[in-house]
Amino acid sequence: MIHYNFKFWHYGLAITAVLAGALGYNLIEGDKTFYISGPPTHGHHQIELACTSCHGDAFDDRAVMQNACESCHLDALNKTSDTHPQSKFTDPRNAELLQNLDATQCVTCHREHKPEITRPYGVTLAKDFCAHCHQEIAEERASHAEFGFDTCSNSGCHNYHDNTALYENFLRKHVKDPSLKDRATVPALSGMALWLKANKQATPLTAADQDAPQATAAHIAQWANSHHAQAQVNCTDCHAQPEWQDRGLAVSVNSCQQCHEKQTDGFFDGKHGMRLNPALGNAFSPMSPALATLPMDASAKHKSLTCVSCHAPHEPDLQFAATEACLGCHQDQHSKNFKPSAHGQSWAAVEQGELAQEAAVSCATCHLPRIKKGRKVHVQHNQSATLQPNSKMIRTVCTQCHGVEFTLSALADPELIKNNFSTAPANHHTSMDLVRDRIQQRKKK
Amino acid sequence: MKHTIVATALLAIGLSSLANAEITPQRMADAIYAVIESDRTVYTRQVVNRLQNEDEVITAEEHWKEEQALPLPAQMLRMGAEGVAKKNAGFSYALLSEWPINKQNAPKTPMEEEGLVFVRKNLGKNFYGTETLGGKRYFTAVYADTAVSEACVKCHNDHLDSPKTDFKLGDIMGGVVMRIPLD
Repeated sequence: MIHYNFKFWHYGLAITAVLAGALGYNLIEGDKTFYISGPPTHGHHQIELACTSCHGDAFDDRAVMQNACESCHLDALNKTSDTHPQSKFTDPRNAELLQNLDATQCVTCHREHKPEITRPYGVTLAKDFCAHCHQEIAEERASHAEFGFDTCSNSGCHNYHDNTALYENFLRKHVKDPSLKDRATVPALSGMALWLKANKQATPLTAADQDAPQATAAHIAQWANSHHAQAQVNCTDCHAQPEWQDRGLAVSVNSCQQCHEKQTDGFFDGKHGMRLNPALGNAFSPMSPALATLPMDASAKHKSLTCVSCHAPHEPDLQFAATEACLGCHQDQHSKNFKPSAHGQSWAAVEQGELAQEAAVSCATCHLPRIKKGRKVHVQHNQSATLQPNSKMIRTVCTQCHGVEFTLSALADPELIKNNFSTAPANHHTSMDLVRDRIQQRKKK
Repeated sequence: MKHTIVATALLAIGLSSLANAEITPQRMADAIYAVIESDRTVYTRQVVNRLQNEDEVITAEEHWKEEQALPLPAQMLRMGAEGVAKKNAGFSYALLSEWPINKQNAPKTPMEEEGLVFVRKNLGKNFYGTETLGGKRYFTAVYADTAVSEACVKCHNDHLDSPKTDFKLGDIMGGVVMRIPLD
């Protein structure tokens, strides 16, 4: 029998080899959780294991991470006229300011994996961060002398990036708005009407035209009454796509994307569809309530989120997608309080055929708002686009029906948000007082 | 043979004098400013003045996106400066004033202050100097910015946040500060 004479360094070598194997396996073949330094923010938790999407490869420089942030977020910032774009800070005259706070890099304010210092919107700076550059504000605006720097970013006041809803002249125009407008409606959807206008000669398909021999009679009957049949979209236009069974998708998102490009792009940008975003290279399965950080219905945990989770493509009805689809998973306080709220009551009237959709409020009215550009109205399918900060909702959503001061006041009240606006807000906001003072100053001038 | 040598020598002298005519930072700054200034004048006269004041089809407004109006000439210049900043083009410029509506556009560095005063007091002259910002050396040029149209004067005199409200047409309202890194 051979007796090995183990020396101390032999044990060291063996432990190193085991550790290297375990770490190496985790890095290359495993799920990489070993290497995550702390839980990511709610914005990125779904895709935390796509490490290289943000961090690039080993030894990449800082620019790679900045480019990664911009590849997903820059479009949205440009669309809303970012008040603090990177280009504002690359001017050498701001070099001194940058020594206090390097505002050219997203990660200066938004550090990941730091839950202990992460505030709303993924901000990891203290709430009074505006003080780094705007020390002189009290001299420039006497009206702001009494405000603390920790109140600058209060709801209804300033945002770092998107201030479009808080421009002084916008507020000035709406200073006398009533709480609820006389004509409180959202725009009607225009897609089908515009398609029919552009395709006057198109004959709608009927049940006899269906081209999927194995389709059930029920499906065929539903489809024959749907917008899809009306717009000459036959069974194999969606179901014949080679990807249609990939990654557990009954019908691939790609099938819908062929025609509904804007909607799918929005879906990929939001939290419902970000795991399927093509920029991540098909690394993930669809989002599921089991992965969510918000409270979800326990019985919905097995569900996965694609277009058909909310839209029944064979049916002409969009009502299910507007509320019941949401409440099938979301069970947080705000969601649970929707049905008894005034908004919820109005939607109940729609479901009973007593009110037009455009005159009522569903979950989708606020979270997947109808955006009107010229004659076209499309549904923003990125439900995260107007959520944070919530003043993004002022122009696109709330002021369709409500006055601006009422809206500012409602969105600044966390209790009201929790109870889903079941009680009336104060209809008073400091921002509007400041605007009223400016109107008086203008009159005196 | 003699002629060939003389011709070659002359050609060499000519070429070397061409090579010596290098583009100094000042020449580069002056040339860029000529483009900025000309473009802005064309925009002011041929777009804003023509469409707003002569043909009266559209106005130019501070909140041009909101009002579906034309951007003001000064805003046009600033947008161009931001566009250049995004491109990392090797120089930067900004429109500054001793009496800015937006206080972020007030002079910040000692050279900006010196340059703006110089171009105001020395009509027709530009200001040139070098300064160090954030550990980098820059060639800095300041060009006077004159009230070229009634719109400039009116907006600044009427604006609630304007520290000076008695501008007249032809007054120096501020200056374009251009920087070229020297390191």
